[in-house]
Amino acid sequence: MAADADDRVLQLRAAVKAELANVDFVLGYAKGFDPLHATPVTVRTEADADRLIFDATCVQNLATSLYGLNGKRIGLVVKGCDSRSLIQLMQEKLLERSQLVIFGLPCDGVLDLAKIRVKADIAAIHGAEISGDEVRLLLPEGTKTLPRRDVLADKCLRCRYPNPLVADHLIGQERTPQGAEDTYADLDGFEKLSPQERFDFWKRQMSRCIRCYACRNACPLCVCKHVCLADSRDPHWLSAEATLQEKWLFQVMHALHLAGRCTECGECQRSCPMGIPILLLKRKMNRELKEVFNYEAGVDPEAVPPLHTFLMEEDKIKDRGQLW
Amino acid sequence: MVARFLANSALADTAAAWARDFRLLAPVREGQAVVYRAWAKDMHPFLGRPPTCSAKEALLPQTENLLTYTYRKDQADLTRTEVFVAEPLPPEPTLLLGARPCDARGRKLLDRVFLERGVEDPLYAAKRRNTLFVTGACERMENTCFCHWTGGGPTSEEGSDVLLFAVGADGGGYVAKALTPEGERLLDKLPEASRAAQEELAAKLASPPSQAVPGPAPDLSAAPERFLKLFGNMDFWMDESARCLSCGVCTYLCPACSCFNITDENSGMKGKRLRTWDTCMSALYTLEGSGHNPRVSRAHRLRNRVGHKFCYHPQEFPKDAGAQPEFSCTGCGRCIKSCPVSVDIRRVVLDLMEKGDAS
Repeated sequence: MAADADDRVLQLRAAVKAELANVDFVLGYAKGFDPLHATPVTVRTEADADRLIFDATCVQNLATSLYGLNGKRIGLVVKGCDSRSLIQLMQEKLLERSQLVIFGLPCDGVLDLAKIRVKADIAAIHGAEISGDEVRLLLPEGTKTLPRRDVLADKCLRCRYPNPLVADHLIGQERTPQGAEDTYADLDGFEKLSPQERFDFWKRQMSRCIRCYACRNACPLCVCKHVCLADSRDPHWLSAEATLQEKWLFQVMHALHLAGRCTECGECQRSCPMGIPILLLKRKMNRELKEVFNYEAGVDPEAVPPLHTFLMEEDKIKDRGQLW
Repeated sequence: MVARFLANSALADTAAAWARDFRLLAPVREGQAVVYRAWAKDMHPFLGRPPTCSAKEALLPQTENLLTYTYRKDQADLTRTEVFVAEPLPPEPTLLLGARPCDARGRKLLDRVFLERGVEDPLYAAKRRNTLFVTGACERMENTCFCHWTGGGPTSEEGSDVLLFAVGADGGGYVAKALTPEGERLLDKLPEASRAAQEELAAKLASPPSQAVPGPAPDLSAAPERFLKLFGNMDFWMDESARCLSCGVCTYLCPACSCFNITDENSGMKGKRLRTWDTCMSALYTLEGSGHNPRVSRAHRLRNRVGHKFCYHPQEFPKDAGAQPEFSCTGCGRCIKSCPVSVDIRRVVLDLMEKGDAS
């Protein structure tokens, strides 16, 4: 972690305290139940503000919590990737800029606990130190050191926006992006499989799904929430059965409704208790959108999302040209 | 009863033998999750970590067919429609391998709801009668474990038919202790545990897993009253629930949560009536036909989850005066471990104890 880490948390707390009078409350991160878990916290008082932290355990995208808070003035702590969700929500007129006081923190990447669990048994961890290129885990059997790059979330390894794209208070030095242009190497690898192999992969993965809808509820852009088609009895798209067909249909719906809107914050996949790699479906959509419309969601507040508009003649879509 | 020995090397064969007599559900690793799967050849049961899902799916499946129905028009009088209803087949004898003591205790809590309220749930009762639990005792407590808060423990025998204790003796395996006659029959082909294995087990039981990681258990005997004192304090519940995403992780993974929904899934002239898991965290839970919902916010719904477990259940099934109340929570910690935003029910209960005292 960069040298300004501790300093930055103090600056954050001070900035939040200074804004408390101007907002209903601030959403930030506090320590969770163990050293690898942070938990979102509602800050109303100076004492609350002293609980704020910011480090590689701050995985959640707090833009998700803005749902249902219309009419309130809210302070929000965001990383670079989280700020893209805000931009996308504003582009879609689902969020007013004036409603927010944004505390933007340049980010060095967050931990992927699924990756750590593969390398170490962290169920009884009692300490963690993240410094420089190393993550040191204090475990009952001793200290285990892992290279930081091996346990960062995939999105952080290809991150081009570590610095918040929108902020009222930018706290800490700006970071140099880790990733270049996204090559979608993971998707390319997956698409080398035959259609049957891919179908079998998803059947196997989706059979674990318990239909808890953490993926949907953790998504900052999944704004239908409980009026979702997946829950609707009329029209009756999905039955209540926990069958592969229903689970899969929901994931296809989710991916299609996120096309051109998903900023790949990865909350859907991170939230899945069963470890189903559902972000891959959204990446597929995003690559198509990039190819067809040269568009990337949540980057430019002035841009109009391509599926929110149309051109009479699209550059890359031959739309019934022969008929006219 | 004689202690038996189940060698690691014999685990797959023994499971395969059980699978001839039972629908065997065994935990396997899939990615970062450990899930119960119906036995298949070449399966490697994994007992090294508590399964991601609780064991309740063996008794209360996520989807259960209550009945199927077919409508038929009376050809002589087309204004008349007859309906034919068929019951589901009785459940197969089932054996669940690799649950933890907290899961097995969950079975007792589900019994309270489905068997001991004066009305017996026939489908649950049928499953309960012919489902056996071969449980693995825990060797340590995790950060999210709190079974010792709610009357359980890492080697609790309650609700299990067989309890397996991992030992290193004789090449590694489990000392298997039958706790019911059915459990004993399961083990009758296994060799008796050697003296070395039994001594190792005795030594382990003499020094139970350390509670250092989760910390000592608080006295929760006043939890029901404290909860009622704070029932109307919506500021308290709003602060506790502010980060909740209203997803179903906590309730679906819970070994004691028993809420279900009943729906008819029509397809033309036929259909089925299903019972499926429901979750009090969902905005649709208790949403009435009129559009009114008595639990309109996340605050109301989290209050329901905590209240049901730590107040309504102990009040409905009271213990003798002075005894620790029975909570509808086995302290397995799955709701904490898998929550995307790290809501910690222990923290909520401790806040209750503290603030319910002050107010």
